[in-house]
Amino acid sequence: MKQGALRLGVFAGPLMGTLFFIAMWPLMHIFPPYSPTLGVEEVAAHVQENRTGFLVGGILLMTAASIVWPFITVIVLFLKKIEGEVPIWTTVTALVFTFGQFTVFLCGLAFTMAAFRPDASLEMVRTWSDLGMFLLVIPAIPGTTQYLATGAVILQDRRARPILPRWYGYLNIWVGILSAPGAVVGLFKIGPFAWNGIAAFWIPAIVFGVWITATQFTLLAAIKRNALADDQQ
Amino acid sequence: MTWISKRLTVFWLVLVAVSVLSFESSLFGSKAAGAIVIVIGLLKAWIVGSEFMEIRCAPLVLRALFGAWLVVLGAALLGVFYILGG
Amino acid sequence: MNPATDGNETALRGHIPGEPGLWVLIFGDLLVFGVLFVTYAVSLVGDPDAMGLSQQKLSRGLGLANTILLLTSSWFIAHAVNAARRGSPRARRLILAALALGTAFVGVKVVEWGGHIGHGDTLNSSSFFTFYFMYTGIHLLHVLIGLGVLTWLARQCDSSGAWTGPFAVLEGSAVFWHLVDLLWVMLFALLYLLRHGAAA
Repeated sequence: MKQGALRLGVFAGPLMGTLFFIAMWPLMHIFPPYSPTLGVEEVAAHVQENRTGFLVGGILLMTAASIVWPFITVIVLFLKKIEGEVPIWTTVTALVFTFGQFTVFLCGLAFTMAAFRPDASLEMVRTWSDLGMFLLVIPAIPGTTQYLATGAVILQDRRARPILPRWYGYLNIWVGILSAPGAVVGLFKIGPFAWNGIAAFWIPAIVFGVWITATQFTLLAAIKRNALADDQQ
Repeated sequence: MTWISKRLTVFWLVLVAVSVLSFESSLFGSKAAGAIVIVIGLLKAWIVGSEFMEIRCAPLVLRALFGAWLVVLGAALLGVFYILGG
Repeated sequence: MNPATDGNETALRGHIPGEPGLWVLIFGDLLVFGVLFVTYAVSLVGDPDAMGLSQQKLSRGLGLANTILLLTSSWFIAHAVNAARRGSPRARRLILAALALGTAFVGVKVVEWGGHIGHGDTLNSSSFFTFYFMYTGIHLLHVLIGLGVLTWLARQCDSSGAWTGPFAVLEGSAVFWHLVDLLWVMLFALLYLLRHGAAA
């Protein structure tokens, strides 16, 4: 039952992740993120040295946001299968996930703005780069809602043989809670809660990596056993 | 009061008593105080996990993982406190 | 019906409390909090005098009160699980007691936070207070989720107060609530009690 299409959809997830990573690391050299304490000259220098990287990276980020939809759709299809007739939390997941892609898109645009005009003032360059850095990390806020909603749907599955495995539901809850600290990066320039800090960047990043791997695993297994055609009550 | 578990209540009393006592002892500034606080904290965590979460009745894997967490965290905290902290 | 744990441990050996998947969340959380605890310890020994100065502003009394509230709340939910094992109608009352104490914890926390903010000690006024507010904040998020779960659990009991849902659901939810307690026990020790010897 459209297994090929579903599998292709799942593939869009890691593809998006790959584009994201290529943009951040080899292109823009912002993995790990530079320190928020950097002055305007240093940030402008960083952008200048990686100008092409920023411009291409911006395109990749905007592309990533634009091609991830099949991945989101497959997730949502399974959630809808679980929730059934009044899919409240499935819809919440879909809406928030959608919203999140807009922030990724804007992130790419911000970095593009930072690099576009070599004659821009240093302050302007840093401002746009700041926006990009925030957009990288602060979507933790809607992210938490999304993961918790997904977890809630999966854990509400009362079937004898759950559509999606229960450990994956708990994993989403875990990811949701631990993504939350990303919200406070506007308050700190140093320490674990700055945008390059352990709690606001590294933990959410690692946890997200675990999530996207587990999600592929789980979806492919569910597609293989044709869980969408499941007719348990 | 047959519904009250003697075992759980004893452990609860221990936890509360230790909490109250450590509250007092934190006023001492000895070098060993840090280790005492860390170890006691982990012992309390162990009791909550083992007795209240019932990890002690769980399969070996769970008990081993929990034990490992306690030991590794304890070693890391003590290491930071005494080696890094000098 | 599972026998109560007292004196019947052998009957329960090898039983995974709640369900296996839950422990992904439990150990995942323990792992990450472990990292957060060590991060804090590194900061503490890195600047013990400044950290110590801020740390002294914490009310150990309120911290102790909160510790006792959660420990007792754990006692109640553990007994609710036992009650459900016996099919006893006492379950709902015990869940509600746990819920009440958990709510009181939030109340004390709000008062505590309000006190600090009122004195000018806020989220980014010092390194210590960043840790304090953020760590107790992340913990508070766990408490709020737990309170939601406890409320839902209470509503699953029937009119006599007995637990009617699958036993594993109550048991697993209790495990999460005990995790909340366990994390607080560690936070109490690290934030309120642990002083670096350098100040001595």
